[in-house]
Amino acid sequence: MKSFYSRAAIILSIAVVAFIVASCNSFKKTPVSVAPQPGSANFSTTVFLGNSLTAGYQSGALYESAQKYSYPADIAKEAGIANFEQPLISDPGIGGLLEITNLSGPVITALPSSGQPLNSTLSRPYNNLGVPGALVYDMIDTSNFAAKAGPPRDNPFFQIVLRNAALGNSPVAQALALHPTFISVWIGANDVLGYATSGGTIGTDPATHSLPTDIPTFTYLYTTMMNALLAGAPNAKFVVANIPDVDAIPFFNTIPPIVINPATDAPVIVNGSPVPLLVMRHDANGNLYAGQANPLYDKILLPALSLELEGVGIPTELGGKGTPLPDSLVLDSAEVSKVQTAITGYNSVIQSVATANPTRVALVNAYSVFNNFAANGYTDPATGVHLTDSYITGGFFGLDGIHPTDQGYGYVANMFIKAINTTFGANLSQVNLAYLPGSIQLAKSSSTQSKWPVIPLSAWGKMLKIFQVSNMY
Amino acid sequence: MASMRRVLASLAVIAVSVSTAFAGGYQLNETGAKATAMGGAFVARADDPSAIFFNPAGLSYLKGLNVMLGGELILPSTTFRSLGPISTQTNMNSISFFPPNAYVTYSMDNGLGFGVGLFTPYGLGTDWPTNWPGNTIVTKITLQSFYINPTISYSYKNMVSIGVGFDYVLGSVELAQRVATPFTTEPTATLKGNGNGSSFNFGILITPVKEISLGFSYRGRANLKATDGTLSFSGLGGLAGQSQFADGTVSTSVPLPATWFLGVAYKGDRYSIEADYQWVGWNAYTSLNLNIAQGSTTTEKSIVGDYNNSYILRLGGDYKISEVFTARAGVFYDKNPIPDMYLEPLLPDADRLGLNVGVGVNVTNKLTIDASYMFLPFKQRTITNSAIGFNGTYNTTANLLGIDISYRL
Repeated sequence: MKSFYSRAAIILSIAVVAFIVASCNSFKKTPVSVAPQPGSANFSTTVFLGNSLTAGYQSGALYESAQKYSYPADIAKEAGIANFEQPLISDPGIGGLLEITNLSGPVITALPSSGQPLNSTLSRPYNNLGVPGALVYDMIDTSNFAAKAGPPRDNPFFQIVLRNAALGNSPVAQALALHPTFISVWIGANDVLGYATSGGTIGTDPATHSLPTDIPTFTYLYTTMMNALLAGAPNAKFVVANIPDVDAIPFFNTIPPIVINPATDAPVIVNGSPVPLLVMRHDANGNLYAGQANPLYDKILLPALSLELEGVGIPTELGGKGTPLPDSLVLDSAEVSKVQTAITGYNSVIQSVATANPTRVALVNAYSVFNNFAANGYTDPATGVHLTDSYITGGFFGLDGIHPTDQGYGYVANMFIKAINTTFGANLSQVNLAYLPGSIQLAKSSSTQSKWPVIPLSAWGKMLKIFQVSNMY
Repeated sequence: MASMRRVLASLAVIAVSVSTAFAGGYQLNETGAKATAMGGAFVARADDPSAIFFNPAGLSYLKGLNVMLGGELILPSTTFRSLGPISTQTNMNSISFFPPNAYVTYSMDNGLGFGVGLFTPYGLGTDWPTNWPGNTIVTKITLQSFYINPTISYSYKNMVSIGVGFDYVLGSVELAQRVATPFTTEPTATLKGNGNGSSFNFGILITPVKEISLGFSYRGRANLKATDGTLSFSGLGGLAGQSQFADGTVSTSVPLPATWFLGVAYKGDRYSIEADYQWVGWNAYTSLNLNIAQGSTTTEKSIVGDYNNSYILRLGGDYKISEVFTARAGVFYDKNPIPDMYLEPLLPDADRLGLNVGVGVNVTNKLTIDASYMFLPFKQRTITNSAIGFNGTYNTTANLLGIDISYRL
């Protein structure tokens, strides 16, 4: 009897040990990574051309902490691009990084423009050749880029990004010098933003210097640039993005053109109607006059905020100064329609390049993506993290009201990734926005108490100067 | 002038994302060094004071007054690597736990046994770097429970014994996570709570023939109710004074699931061996609900877990080398209860294999010291369908050292 139990115990033990040993195989630790399928694209040498949006400019400056989350950096990470190099600039960067110094206001000030280039000895062109302030013209302009640091442009970024003419004497030349297998191009926004952010007072139109780059010029420059790239890298694939609507960014849509009662946060109603702000605007003949803003179509630019706080633009009956907001801070209805005409024209040129090269060029419809975002925001399906186009609190746009935050750039990267995946049959993963850090600078402690928001006009100066280019041809 | 007011009003939207909490297979069965050394296969023998935990019916077979005191040093290490071609690995901060155990028993010659035990059958802790990618899910969590378990048993003719006990449960939980904001300032939210609950346990031990014993024991589910927990924030910087970062109170209830053991043991002259099946009623954890009050604002958070019931297979035995030394060894396979989509870094659980050795030393005929060592590798676990979009690969191993000192009067 005893030997029976003994044998049964041994058999049972062997069975249990066998089960456990069989399961041991799955306790191996092997690295898991999801290698992206590039489809018909090849990301081994990828280069990004563009302006401040491509550079990773954020809250008024180009600085390392933000550059690490530029959309090219995001895409490089998802595509597994090794040796991806950017022209990093130490914090707080160059441009005048905007920082909230007091949330109860909020009070926003610009940090000193004291960043230093960190990666300037790289012996080849950068993979991210985005130059803040660059126009389409600058992509193929082979004249001395170093001179652009001086008047009239006063833009230090060409020298910082392009460094040495021996690497190529234009962004396009440097891109081609990398012998790229994949090229991303998002350029043209500044050809209209210079005009729009100056309230229609400064322009890049060669004939007048006071209008957006005219469409024939844009068409010539853009197609010349793309032809150079398509021919110079005959085996490369491309992604190109078009120009978003100014309506979709807080710089133009935060301040309503009517007087608001600060106590109730509701429009002031007199005789049953809201009261338009006092502004300098143009009549039907294009003549400037002081009058009331068109409450439906005029756009008051974000930097007008500090003047409005002083009572500028507000009628004396309502406690204001009775003086108009200057022309440079108002994009009146006629100017808005010029901006929209330009954007529509540019986008049809960009569209036609993609249409003409369907197997080589993926098109990102940034215009429609941004408008859709402005209308609906974005809610992360997994975490409920919600981004909107609201200034400061929306989480998408930084303090300059034009450039995205880390999360905003992640959204931009996803817009590119979707287009790349669709056109080339690739399967790059989307950037997970919910786990990107917040990036709006908030000073460690509040310094002053202020009831109303204060952003001194000077805080905008350096950044806007970069866009507002005149007399450059 | 006005739109800024809108900005301020909507600042309140910045979610205080206390959206997750303690979770998972937070069970600890290592409540005695002798049993642990044999892979926890002990329900059909239960022949030391830790019978109060493993099978209270075993109390009847102890002799006289016994006191046992000890604990288990737990040293886990976990890494996380996000998916994607370029990803970095995060190593969990090194942490250690020492859940103690203490038992006092008295057994009479007429088959009656009494005892009281103190042990920690549920607990967990993880501690991630504060700047790691999942810091809005968790930076630190600890869950502790203490069971106070008075027990009585009775045996009939040394063939059938039954035992029952009552559990009074005390517990504490602490969870810290970074709060996502649009700002570079990311404050840390800390939830802390103490709670209590109750349950019961019973066990049966049958010895049909001298060499064979059969054991079954059951411990009911307890709910650790915490009603006066606190929510506080640190690292607020320029966000100080915003109403959504005001201190608050939290109430919640953490399920501590029911479990049962079923085992059979063979006892020879110098050795014994036992095989057990343990069931754990993890489907008690469907979601965890947190009620948070900050001033007049109340928020309810629900954390879905949808755990599955699980099991542990155990095999272990001992060999009496001499009157002084006994060698022990055991293995177990522990099936984790967490579905892939709900696996979070709060508790990076996975199926585990326990490899155990140990020794018992009779220092005198009244004093015994038992020691155990467990190597506990977890299956590598790669999550691709996380419900909160946090996908990646977890690897965990743990080393556990147990010691108990027993004194007989």
